[in-house]
Amino acid sequence: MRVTFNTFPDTLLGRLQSLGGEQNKSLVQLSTGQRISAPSDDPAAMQRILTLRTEKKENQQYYRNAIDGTEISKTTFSTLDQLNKLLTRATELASNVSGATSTQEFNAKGSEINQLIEQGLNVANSKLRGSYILAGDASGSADKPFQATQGADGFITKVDYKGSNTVAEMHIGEGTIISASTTGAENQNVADMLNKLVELRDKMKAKKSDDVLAVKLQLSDGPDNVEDKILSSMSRAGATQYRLEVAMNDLTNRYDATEQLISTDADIDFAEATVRLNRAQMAYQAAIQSGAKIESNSLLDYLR
Amino acid sequence: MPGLISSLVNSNGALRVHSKSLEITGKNLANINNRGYSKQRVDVGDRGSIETGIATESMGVEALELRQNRDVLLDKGVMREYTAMSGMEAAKKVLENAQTALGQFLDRTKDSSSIQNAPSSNGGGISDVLSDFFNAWESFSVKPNDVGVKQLLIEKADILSEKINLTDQRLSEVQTNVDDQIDSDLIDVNGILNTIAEQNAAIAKAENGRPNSAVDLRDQRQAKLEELSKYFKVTFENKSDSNGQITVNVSDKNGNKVLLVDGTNVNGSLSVQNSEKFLFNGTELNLTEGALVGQLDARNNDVQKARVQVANLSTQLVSSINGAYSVTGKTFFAATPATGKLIDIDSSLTVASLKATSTANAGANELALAIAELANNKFATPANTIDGTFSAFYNSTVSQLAQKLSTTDVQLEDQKLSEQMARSTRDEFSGVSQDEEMTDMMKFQRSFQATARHINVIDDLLDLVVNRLGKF
Repeated sequence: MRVTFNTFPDTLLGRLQSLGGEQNKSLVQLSTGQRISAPSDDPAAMQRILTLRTEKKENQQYYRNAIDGTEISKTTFSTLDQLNKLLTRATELASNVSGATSTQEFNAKGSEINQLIEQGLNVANSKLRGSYILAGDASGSADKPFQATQGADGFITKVDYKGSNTVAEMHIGEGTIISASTTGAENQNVADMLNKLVELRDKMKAKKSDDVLAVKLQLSDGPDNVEDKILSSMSRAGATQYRLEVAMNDLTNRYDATEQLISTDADIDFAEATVRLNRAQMAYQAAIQSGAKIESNSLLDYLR
Repeated sequence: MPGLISSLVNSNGALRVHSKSLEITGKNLANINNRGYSKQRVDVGDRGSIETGIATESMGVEALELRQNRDVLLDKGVMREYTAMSGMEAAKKVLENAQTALGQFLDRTKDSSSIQNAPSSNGGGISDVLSDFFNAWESFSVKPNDVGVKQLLIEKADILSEKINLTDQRLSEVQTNVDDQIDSDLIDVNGILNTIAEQNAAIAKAENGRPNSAVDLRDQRQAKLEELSKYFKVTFENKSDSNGQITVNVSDKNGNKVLLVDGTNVNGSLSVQNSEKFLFNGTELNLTEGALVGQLDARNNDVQKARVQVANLSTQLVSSINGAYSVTGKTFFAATPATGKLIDIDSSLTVASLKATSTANAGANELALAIAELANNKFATPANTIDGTFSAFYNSTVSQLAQKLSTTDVQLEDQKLSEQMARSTRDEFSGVSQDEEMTDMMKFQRSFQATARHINVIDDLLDLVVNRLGKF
């Protein structure tokens, strides 16, 4: 081989550039902790990462949905629980009525039940973040879902459920739909309960102990009673909560797994990258040193 | 006596040869860094021979001509590698710009590591804002009465529209930049063609009767040819009976040879039509490889493809979401976006008019759910404008372009090695070696000294003959 003046510098420059590029790549990777920054670094991996990131974001959204669902479900449960407490109190009041009950006692119990009705109506119309809880998908309506009719004496004579019979649903996973609120039929049960309380109050005021006990049976203990229906709504709300919790656990696990998969593709192996950097550095040093050695020797040094 | 005198004349010729050689050595050393220069040497030979009675003897040494270490095969090899490399380099630049225009880079420092705290970043490319947009519909479906959520949804839709429009605009800018670059390249190319024709004229004039003698002019012409070969694949041939002139050729669409330069004539100028084809005096050329072709191919194939796919994505988004939203009697995205835009939110859409349902129930969300579900809907052409889900389609757009860029990059790295190889092979033959020139210099110096010494001796002899003979 005939070595010309430009052979050494060309070879040296070529190597230094290539090794410099290698070192720069290692530096970028080590300083960002990422194997990939631009799609062209590894197109196939980048496509996987982008898909996984979309999935990750979706899972985060489903998780947020589930949190909101849990909130609705918990509030629904506590609303129903309050109504149930009112009902329990009413049945208590009705249970010790007998022929020996005095007129005064009947009146006192009647007016307490009236208070329970008023309170029950308030509870049934309660809101979460500005939306009615027991209204189906008419939660944002301007009208209250439970409308009371008042008699001439100002007492509530009837409660009507005016909310929707359909419910809003939400996604807690791809293709997984759940409804966290009560159904129209369940809301109707609440209206029925309030109407039964109205009936109970009226019988109480009429001071007929037999009639009072008959209504009490319909409220609780009897076949097809209102309390059972409320309790069943409550247990359904509890089950929904449980289902949401399971879904959230599942989403968290999937999120972590997805994150792991992204990491496998996107993040560097520090040990490997460091070794690669060392190797490039060593070669770079060797190139500089040998280059300097060769370039410093010249025939010119031996000529006078 | 006559023998001594002719000896003196011979030595005089020899001195001229040595000093000429020394001069060329100096020239070689002076051009040691000149890439276009090829090593020259003096061809030494007899002035003629004569019958002396003893034998047929030389009439003395003479510098016959100047030769250069040039090999057409090696030159063509270098030109071929230049063509291939600059084509890839040009394509890579365009593709890199397009990749930046798509803006789909990965920065994991902003990623949340837990499912609970999702960052509300609007960074990244279309892929990120697309999932943010559909997530906003999810949030809306959960809280259809929440004004804040409605506001967020409209904002996310705005960001998505802006991102899509911006991406398209930036891709189109990449294309415009390529057009500008090609225009300026063509000015260079036409300039080079003219220079080559001028150099042909100069060489013909200089080499009249002395073939291959205009070595420096030839070096310059070769340098121009190499410069030209960076733009497209070009061949050159010797023009017969023209004192070293060449023709510069490419082929047209039908495979016929087109002479760009014919001796001292430039046959026209090179132009580009509709960013599609290259014309030379109205003839469509079939240019291959090289920077011009590399850029134009990347512009018309890869960048254009990415643009079309972004446009298709946008069309599908508008039609799918408006299709679902139409139950409200309104549109979500404007049916006809403003000029220069691919997608635009319907200007009449407000927080108050945004609906999650087509029913009268405030709180129903079937519409929002249906639109949120579109995120995972698998579309298929030709019924739709895209294949697969929105994000999968866009991701494949990104990775297609990235794949092309990455492949070009790898090929370019290989090509660089080939180019280095070709250059060093030529340099091995044509380049100037310092050691060689130094030893040559020593050689010529000594030869000069020896010849001078010889003249000295002859001079002594002549002195003896002329001044002292017979004076004892």
